[in-house]
Amino acid sequence: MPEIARIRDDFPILKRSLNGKPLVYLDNGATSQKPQSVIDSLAHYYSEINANIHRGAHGLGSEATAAFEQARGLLARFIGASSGNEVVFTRNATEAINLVAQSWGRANLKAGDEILISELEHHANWVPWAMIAKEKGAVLKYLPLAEDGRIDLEKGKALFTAKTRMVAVSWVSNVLGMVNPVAKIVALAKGVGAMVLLDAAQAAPHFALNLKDTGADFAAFSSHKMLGPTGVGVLWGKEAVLEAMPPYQGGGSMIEKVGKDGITWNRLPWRFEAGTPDIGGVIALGEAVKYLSALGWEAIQAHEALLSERMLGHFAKIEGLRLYGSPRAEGRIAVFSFNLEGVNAQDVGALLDSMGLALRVGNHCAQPLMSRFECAGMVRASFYLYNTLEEADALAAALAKVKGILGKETAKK
Amino acid sequence: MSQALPPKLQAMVDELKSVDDLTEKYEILIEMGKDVQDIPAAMKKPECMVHGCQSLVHIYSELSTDGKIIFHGYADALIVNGLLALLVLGLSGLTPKEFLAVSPEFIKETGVMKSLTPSRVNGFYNIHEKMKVEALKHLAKLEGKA
Repeated sequence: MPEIARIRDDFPILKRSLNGKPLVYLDNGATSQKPQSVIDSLAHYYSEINANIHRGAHGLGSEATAAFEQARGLLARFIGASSGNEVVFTRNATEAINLVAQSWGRANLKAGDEILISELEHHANWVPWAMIAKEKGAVLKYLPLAEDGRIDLEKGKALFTAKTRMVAVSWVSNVLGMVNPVAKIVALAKGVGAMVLLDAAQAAPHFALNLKDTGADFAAFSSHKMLGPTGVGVLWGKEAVLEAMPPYQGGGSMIEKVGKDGITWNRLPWRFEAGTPDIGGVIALGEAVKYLSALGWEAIQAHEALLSERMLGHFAKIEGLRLYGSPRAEGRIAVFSFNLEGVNAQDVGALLDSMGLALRVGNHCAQPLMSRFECAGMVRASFYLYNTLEEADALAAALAKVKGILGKETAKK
Repeated sequence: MSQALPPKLQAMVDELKSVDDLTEKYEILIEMGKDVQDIPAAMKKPECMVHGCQSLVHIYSELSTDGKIIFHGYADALIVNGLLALLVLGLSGLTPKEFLAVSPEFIKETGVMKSLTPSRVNGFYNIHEKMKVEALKHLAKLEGKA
């Protein structure tokens, strides 16, 4: 990996300030920043090759189609799919999960069937299943969490039964940053003949997915958390599984023939891509994939592990700080949620923001997880490959300052 | 409509304007919030709750014998409690008509809103809206008597 300063130079936004202070961007779990190559790709698409794809009798359309499908090929290799037929472009990870819940779920679930999720799921991997379960009379069950915030399979394994039809879990928690034991989850699911969907939104930016080796049937993730633009998500599905599924949305591109006497569907993956997609966004996601590949997972992971160790070292020394999830760098990504004792998370977030640090506070689209840890909200610092050790130090220093300001307040009361 | 602010509120706004740094502005707000008296547990009821705030906020009011509104309220987050102080302390002691003549837009002058999340900005306006409902209720009662 090149020096961190050189990497940061690729991300123009990192040079700006926030509230008059140098920006310390630690909200990568919500969305990552974009390198210049991705920004240039969007501009290049609209200034040079903008045309609708898979149609038109002109060279411009062919160029756009070729670039779009090339990005699909890049993505397929990047995530370890068997072919581009397994890569469906959606608007985001949420839409990818909804696609599976609505298409696979509607065709395959019946009353009494069980869908197994976990207590740490993002609403994106909770609500679509709750909706289809209600519609079909299926039952939603929840894998419990261990104290370190990971899915507890010792306690949870009894929930895998002959009734289980779908197991849908987060690979990595968007709140706790803990990496779940997906290999064991897939093995348990397959042992009872269930399908598996991995919500990989927080995994895809941080490590190689090698999806076809996971044994899972589906995975969903978003472009914008992995250096790509917003507006693009990816659904990966095993080809045979996708092949057997009915379309999710109807419209242009997803059909082969439409007539009053009937409609036939297009082949994979276009069957699931009704209407004009975010062409420029998909092509720019291809650039993001190139950027990540050039850095290499090994280097990215080594850097993020350093960030984790440094931040966890600081956290351990801050009195009254409660870290949710494991205090160790192993088995996690550099995403940390915490609270300061007796202090509202909103106040911590606002004060940090006033000091130039961008973090997220609130329930992180995981209200059931907040209930599990009996709090209304948490402060989350989520690091990415361009964050520096100095920024981890800056967060620690800012938290000390916040404690000073708010502690003064509690002391006087 | 540029209405002069009540002196107490004007002083609070001026204090916030006196510093540029946002952290310092928040510190002042937190300090102001300390002058807000917590309200009795019995008043932390649904009718008094301000909806659309990320923190828990309650507001109620009473009309003094000389026809002035006294507001009471409390928020469970310190910065929001400071925003509430501006409204509850800065706008108490006015007649309903005087209260209704003050636009909540004074908050823009303070410079504390520029960085707050939209939900917090809305929270401020929602507190003011709840106070407006109280003022209109008192006004109707006064005019009904007249």
